[in-house]
Amino acid sequence: MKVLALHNLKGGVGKTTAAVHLAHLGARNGRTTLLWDLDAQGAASWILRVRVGAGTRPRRLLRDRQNLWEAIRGSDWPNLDVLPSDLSLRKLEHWLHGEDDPSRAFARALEDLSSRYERVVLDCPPGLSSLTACVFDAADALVVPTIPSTLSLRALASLYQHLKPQRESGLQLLPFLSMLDARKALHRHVREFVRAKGLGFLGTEIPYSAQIENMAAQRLPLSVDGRQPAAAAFASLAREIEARLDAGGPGPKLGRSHLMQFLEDAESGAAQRNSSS
Amino acid sequence: MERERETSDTAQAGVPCRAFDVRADGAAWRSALQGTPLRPEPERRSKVVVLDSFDRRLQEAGVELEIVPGDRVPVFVWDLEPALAQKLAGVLEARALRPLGEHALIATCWAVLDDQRKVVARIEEQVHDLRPSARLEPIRIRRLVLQGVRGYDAEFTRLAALLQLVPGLVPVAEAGFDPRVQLSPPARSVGRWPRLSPDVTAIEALARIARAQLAILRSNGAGLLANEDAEFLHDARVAMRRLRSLLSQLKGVLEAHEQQALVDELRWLASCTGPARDLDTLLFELRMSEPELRAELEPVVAAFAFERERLQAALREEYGSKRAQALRARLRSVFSGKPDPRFSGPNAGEPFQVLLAKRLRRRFRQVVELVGRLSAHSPAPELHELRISCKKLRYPLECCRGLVPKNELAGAFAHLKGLQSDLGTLQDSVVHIQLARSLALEHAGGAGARAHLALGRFLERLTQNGAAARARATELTTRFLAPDSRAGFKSILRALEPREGEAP
Repeated sequence: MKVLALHNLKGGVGKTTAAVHLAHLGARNGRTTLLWDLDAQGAASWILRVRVGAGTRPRRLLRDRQNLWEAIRGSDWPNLDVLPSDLSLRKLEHWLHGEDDPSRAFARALEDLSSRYERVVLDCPPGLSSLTACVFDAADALVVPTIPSTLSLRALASLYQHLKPQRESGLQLLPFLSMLDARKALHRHVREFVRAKGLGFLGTEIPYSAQIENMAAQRLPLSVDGRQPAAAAFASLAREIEARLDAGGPGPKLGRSHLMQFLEDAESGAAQRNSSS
Repeated sequence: MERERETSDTAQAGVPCRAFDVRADGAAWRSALQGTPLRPEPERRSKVVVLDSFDRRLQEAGVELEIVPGDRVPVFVWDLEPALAQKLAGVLEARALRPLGEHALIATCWAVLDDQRKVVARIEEQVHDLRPSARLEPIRIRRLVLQGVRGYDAEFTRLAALLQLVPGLVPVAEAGFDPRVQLSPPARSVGRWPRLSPDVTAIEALARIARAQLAILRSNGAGLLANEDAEFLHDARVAMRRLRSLLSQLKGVLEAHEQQALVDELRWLASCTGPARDLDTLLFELRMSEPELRAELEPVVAAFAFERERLQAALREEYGSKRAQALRARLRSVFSGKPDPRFSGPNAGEPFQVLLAKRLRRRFRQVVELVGRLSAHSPAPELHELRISCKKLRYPLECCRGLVPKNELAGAFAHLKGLQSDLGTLQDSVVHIQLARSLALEHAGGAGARAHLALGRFLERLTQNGAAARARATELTTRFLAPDSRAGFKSILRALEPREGEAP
């Protein structure tokens, strides 16, 4: 079993849509897949039309295996199950705080899930917390949707630094450009920089698209059979991630010095523009 | 390309599934579910050729192997893709794969929705069209399958209860559809171990066991003579060996002259089959090498396979000879029907379990002695002697079925089986190395330097495998001498002792 976690320090970067599509595509390719919604907003659960069942307490998920299995719901697609979430998930964070070794408790739960699933996709809340610390320790790859903006790149650089021990233990950090709007100069500028330097980014870029926004309203992942460019981009993203997982190892480096230089240049350029105006 | 899947994958693990045979109006179920929202889903269609060995090894292992019609049919496990071949090697061994027939499926699918438009179950109307290779008439089976969705068990239960009431829908025990049940001829049930009771006499028990072995010989004889599959020879050899071993160990049950004559003739027939079996297993090892080495070995394998045909022809001649026919006829006349006093020895009327206990005690002591003499550096012949002794212990142990509690026997078999398996690997490596060297000298002169170098690497690996098996066997012998192993055998012997009130 491989564990993929979708995470970013920032919110609203396209984590949930990417998580839903990666899980959906994995299941479609015949892999038994579980999407574990770890975000108390429960957006992934909502899109996949799955509600938290009665009697499911987040704290018991990690303590009581029976409760963990019973909390899982089938989605509308074969091979894809969901461990749904709602606002009660915030209590899990509190419980993890009180645990001696929360990472171990979380890893044990994932170990149990490996008896049934080939892929577990974790849709994480933004920021850093006890829960995300457990995720970083347990995941095989951390997929980081990154909006092409200076703030997002700065957040990525911080995350890269923060995850040094986990990266050294084999965690793959897989950033990709998300919500790319080619009409915006900054997005184009960041894309050119990423394409030129690589920086460990996946080659696939997910465009800013009304189709993706509508997906949440229609509660239906984009169909790869249709002619939607965004759907094709998610399919390409899934293939690239699978290839990186198969290859194993820590993957390419972020090139943090290049990134920091770029950010400094961008910020000083902006300051100059401000002073001249 | 061949495709392998678990038989049960039509039903997801942990998700309820129920299937019904459709015997009448196929659409009646829709009226029963009136008011339940159904959404049509894409139709599923497939057409495959189903493969298995003659003795349904894949079916027993819960694996389906399929190819698309028109694709090349893999004949042996080594013809499959390397990863699949590796996975199925232990199941199929050297058995040939046969196309059992064609299976075409058309499934019309619906999703059952709740008031939130969430899928809570799935229903499939399946039409299975089966064309068995062995028969001309096609078979059509119509099924309705209700598949649950995880976490929506209540909805599944409600729907299942409604479908249960629909006339013409007959529930079937297995939700998964296994085409082999319809495609393959009935499984062979010959050679089943006879049911022995504590009061059975030695001659009666021996006759029943011999009849079971004769049935195995009969059922494998035709396949062996037709050169259909290497396993026919293997099964026949095991039956011959078992019968010979028991005949010679259970002394005094048959009249001495008759017993000796049968043992001698069985030994002769077994010796005729030995070279062919050794070459079969060597070819299996060669063909199961990793793809690169196997490609280099191809000229050698071809030369050996040519030699195999010659050996098989010689074997068929011997197995079908008048002498072999006379042996089988003699065995039938001695063991068919009621015990004949002409063939009975002085111990014929003894309780079987008393004789058996004596043999077991002696054999067990012999194995313990041999094990005690072994060291990590014992020569291969000594280990082979131990292997033969283990076999001689195993056959009387098999006769305890029905006379000794199952769990006690299982423990003893486990100890013995592990040891036998490693000793077997060691002996095979010795035999294969000698055989490959002599065959390469005699028959593979023109195979080329590259092939001979590859053979050298292969033999080196066999030597390593043998050494690893030796190390494991040495470890297992220590376990064999352990108090729990000895206690297990003692409790089997106790179980064979006559109870109070029974004849001694």
